[in-house]
Amino acid sequence: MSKRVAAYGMLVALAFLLSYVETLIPFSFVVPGIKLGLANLVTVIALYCLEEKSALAVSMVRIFLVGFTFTNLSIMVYSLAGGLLSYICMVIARRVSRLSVVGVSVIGGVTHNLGQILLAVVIVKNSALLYYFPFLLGAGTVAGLMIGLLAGFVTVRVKPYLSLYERQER
Amino acid sequence: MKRQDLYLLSFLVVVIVIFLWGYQLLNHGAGDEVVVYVGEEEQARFSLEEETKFVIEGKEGGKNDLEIHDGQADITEASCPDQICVHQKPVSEIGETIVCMPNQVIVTVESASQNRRE
Repeated sequence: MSKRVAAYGMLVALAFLLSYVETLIPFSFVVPGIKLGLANLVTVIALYCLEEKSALAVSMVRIFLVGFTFTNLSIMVYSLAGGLLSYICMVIARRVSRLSVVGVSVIGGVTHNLGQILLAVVIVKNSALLYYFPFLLGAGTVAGLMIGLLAGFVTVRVKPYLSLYERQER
Repeated sequence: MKRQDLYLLSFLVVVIVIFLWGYQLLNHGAGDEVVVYVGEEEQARFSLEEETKFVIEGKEGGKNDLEIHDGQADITEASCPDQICVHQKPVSEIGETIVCMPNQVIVTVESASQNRRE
């Protein structure tokens, strides 16, 4: 149990740090407001190295921590919408499709942005927002691709160590 | 990376290209009106031809400074922390939109002569 707590804590800390690092790098050169979503790298890695629910736990704890530290509640709900939808879609894609970690991550990137824009339309009640849809689709694809490639490299190397924490449970 | 990944990527690229191509077809040419929405409510409407400065009163006390010059609408200042709307390029083509999510402000270009709204 304590080893598992340590592993989760480490991943949450890493995701939290990556969220902060990202605020230092301006990625928004094409469409303002677009992010690479470096913290989602940790979610994808957790999804492939640990169990499905651990990826959800790490991603949710990170969203709440980052939300309360760097932003506020009204911005955090967008992170939650994106985070939850992309998590659900990535889990489904990983189970039923024959996509590799790269494809699953692309699904995650695209659905993350989809979740955010849909919530925005619901909150603001103005469909003019959908103007951004193709740009967000493109951004989600690029971000998902980069995160997926990175996650692929990292997973191969850390899986033996991370899955050690999981296996000792049973 | 597997072949299925490449299929997914090409599918997404095709969808994006179709959307952008559709934008080109539908929103051809410059608009002549700027409409300001706060949430779902229309708050103001300006001609793109006149030089205007206007302070948009957004939700929760937020403010955005709208400036119209040289046939383009631009947000020059905002009270929100992220400043995404300020960094956005000025808009002038029909359908082009600037959004400030924290203040729920939407600035979009329309055409008075061929109004597309029902």
